[in-house]
Amino acid sequence: MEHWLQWARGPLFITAMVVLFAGLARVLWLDITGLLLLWRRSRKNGRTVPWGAVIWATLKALRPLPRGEHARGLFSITSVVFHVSIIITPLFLGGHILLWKRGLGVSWPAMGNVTADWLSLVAVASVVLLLLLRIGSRTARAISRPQDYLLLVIIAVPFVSGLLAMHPHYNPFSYDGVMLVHVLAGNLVLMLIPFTKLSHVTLLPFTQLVTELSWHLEPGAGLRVAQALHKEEEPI
Amino acid sequence: MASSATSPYSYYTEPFSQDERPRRFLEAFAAILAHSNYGPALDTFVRVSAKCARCTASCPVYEASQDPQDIPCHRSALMLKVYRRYFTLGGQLKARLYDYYTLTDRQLDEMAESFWRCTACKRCKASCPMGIDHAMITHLARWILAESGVIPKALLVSVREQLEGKTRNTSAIPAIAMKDSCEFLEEELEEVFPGHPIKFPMDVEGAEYVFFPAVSDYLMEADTLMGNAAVLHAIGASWTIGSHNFDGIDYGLFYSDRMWEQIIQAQVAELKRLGGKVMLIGECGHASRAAKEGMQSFIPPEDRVPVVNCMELAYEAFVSGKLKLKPNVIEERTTYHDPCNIARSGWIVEQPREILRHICKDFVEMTPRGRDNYCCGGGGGSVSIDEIKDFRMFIGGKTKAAQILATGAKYVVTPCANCKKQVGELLEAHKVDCERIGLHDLMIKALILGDPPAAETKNAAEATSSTNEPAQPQED
Repeated sequence: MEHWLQWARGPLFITAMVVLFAGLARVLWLDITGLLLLWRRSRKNGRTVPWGAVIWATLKALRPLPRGEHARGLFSITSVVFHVSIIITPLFLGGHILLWKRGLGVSWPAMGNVTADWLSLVAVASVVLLLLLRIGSRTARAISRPQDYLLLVIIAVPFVSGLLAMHPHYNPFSYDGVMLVHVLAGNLVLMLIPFTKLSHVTLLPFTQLVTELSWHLEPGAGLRVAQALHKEEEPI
Repeated sequence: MASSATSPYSYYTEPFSQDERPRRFLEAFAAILAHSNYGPALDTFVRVSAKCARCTASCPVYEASQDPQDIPCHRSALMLKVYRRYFTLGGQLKARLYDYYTLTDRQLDEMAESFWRCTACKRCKASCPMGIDHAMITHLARWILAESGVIPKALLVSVREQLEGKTRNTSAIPAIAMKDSCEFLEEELEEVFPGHPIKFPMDVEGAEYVFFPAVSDYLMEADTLMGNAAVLHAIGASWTIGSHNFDGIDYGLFYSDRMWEQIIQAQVAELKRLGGKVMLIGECGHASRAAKEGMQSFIPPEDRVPVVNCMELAYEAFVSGKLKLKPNVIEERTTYHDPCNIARSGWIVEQPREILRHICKDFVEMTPRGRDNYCCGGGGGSVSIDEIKDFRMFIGGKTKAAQILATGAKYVVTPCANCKKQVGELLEAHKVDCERIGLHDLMIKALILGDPPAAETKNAAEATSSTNEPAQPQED
C-alpha cells in the first residue's frame, strides 16, 4: 500500500500536474490565439473594444445573487461557497504546503487545521446541496449531463477522504487506504480540469471579451460564405 | 404551435431540399466558421458551459412554457453539440472511438423549431455566470439554417423584396405611395399646427439627417410619423427621406449576416447618394440596433456615419431646450416598454423616460424595466410570423401582458415597430384595457411650436409671449 501511496504522491502527482498545466496551456493558447485573431480583425476594421463594459460584464457575471423572481438564489449562493471552499482548502492546508516545501522548496502561510476541517466540511456540504438542488429541480435535471453530477462527486472525494485521514478515530478504514483514495482523487480532479467544464478556471475571465469580439462581425463574410457554398449567383 | 401544410415546422417556409440535409447544414456551418468571427466564441462556450440552469430564471419563453426545449442552455446545446462533434479535435477523436454523436434530420428539425421559439432578447446572457451569449448562438444557428434553406417565409419574402424587388422595402410600398402618404400627413399636420410648414422633405441633397423609419410606419403609424416630422421641424433639423430607399427594417439581424450586410450597404448607399451626414432611424429598436451594429461591422471606416435613433435626437433637443414640450399634458396613466434591441445594451433607456416623465402626469414603470426588461414576445423577427401568433400571444408575450396589466396604464409607449405590432395584439388577446402608442405620438400632443412663420412676420413688432399649443391630432 505504501508503495502505491508513494507512486500516487510522486510520479502520478507529477503526471497530473503536467497534464493540468499542459492541458490548460493548450486551452488558453486556443482561447488567446482566437482572441488575438478577432482583435486583429476588429482593429483592421476600425472597431474599438469597450473595455469598461467588458470588464464590468465579466465581474457582474460572478455576482452570487442574480436578480429575478426564480433566480435560483440558494443554488447561486451555494455555488459561491462551494468554489471558495474547494479553492482555499487545498491551497492553504498545512500538510499540502509541507509537501510543496519538501518537493520544490517553496512555501506560504498555512491555515489552521481546525479552519481546514471546517472548510472541508463546508465543501462536502455544498457538494451535497448542489447535487440535491440539481436532482431536485426539474429544470436543472432537464439540461444536466452525466459530468454535471459526476464532477461534483469526484470533487467531494478528496475532501471526505482528507477529513477521514485527519481524524483517525472517525476513520473506519486504514489510514494508508484513505490517503491513497485522497491522493488518487485529487490527481484525477487536476487531470480533469483541462478536459471538462472545470476549464472555466482559466477561461472565465475571457468569455465576455470573446463574445464582444465575436459580435464585431466580419465585413464580406456573407459573400465569402455564399461563394464557398456556390450560392453567390442565386437569387434570395 | 400549429403546423402548416407547406412546412414541417410551425412556421411557413418555402420548399427546401430534403437531400442530405445534415451534410448541407455542416457545409454551411463550416463555411460560416471559416469566414466569420463566431468560432472562438463557440470554442469557449463549448468548454465552459456549466448547465447551472440560472438562465431559466430569465427567459420569458421558458417561464411561460415550462418546456425544457425552451431553456436557453438546452437550446444552445443543440448547436454546441454539433460544433463539439464536427469542429473540435476532442469530438472527432471521440467519434472515432465510439458511437458518440451524429447529426440527423431529426436533430435539424429540433433546431429549426427551437431556434425560432427564441426571441433573441438577450435577457439570459446577463444571468449566465459563464457569460454564454445564447442569443448569439440563436443568431448563428438561424444563419446556418437559412443557408440550408430553412427560413420563415415571412422574413424571406420581405428581405427578397427589400434587396431584389422593385420597391426596395419590406412592405413593398412604392415610392409614389410613400410620397402620397407623406403629403397627406403634411395636410394633417397643417390642421394640427396651423401655419407651420411641417414637411416630409424628399430627396433633399446635403441634408444632415437621412431618415429611415421602419417602413411599416408609413402604413400603420401615421401619428408616429407626424410626430417625427413635427419634432424635427421644431428643432430645426435639416433632414430628408430618400425615395430610393426609405426602409429602416433590417431582417438580416434576425437570420443572416449575409442579408444584414447587404441591407445596411443599400441604406448607406442611399444616404451617400443624398450626401447625408447622419443615419436617423425611427423609433424602431431592431432597425436601430441593426443599423448601429451593422454600420460598425459592415461599412468601411471611411464611409461610416453616426447612427442616431429619433428618440435620442428628441431627448438631446429637449435637454438643450430646443425642443419645448408642455408638461403633464398626458393625463392618463402611461408606462413604457423597453425594446430589447436598444435597452439591453443600455443604449436607450432613460432618454424616452425623461421626456415621458415631463409630458405625462402619471408615468409608471413596469417591473423589471430598462436593461432587465422582458421581451414583448415578438422579438427576433417572430412578430412577422403570423402563423405562430398563438405562441407569441400566450407563451412569448405572456409575461409582458401581465406586466402591462399590473401597471394599470392606459397608454403603453412602445417605440419599436415589431414591439408595436406584438404589444397591440397582446393587449387585444389578453383583453388589457390599454392602448399601445409611440413616443412621438404622445410628444406631438405636448409639442410647443413658436408662432407660425407668417404670424411671426406679421406680429414681429407685437412681441407676444404666447405659445402656440397644438390642436389634438386626429385619432385613427
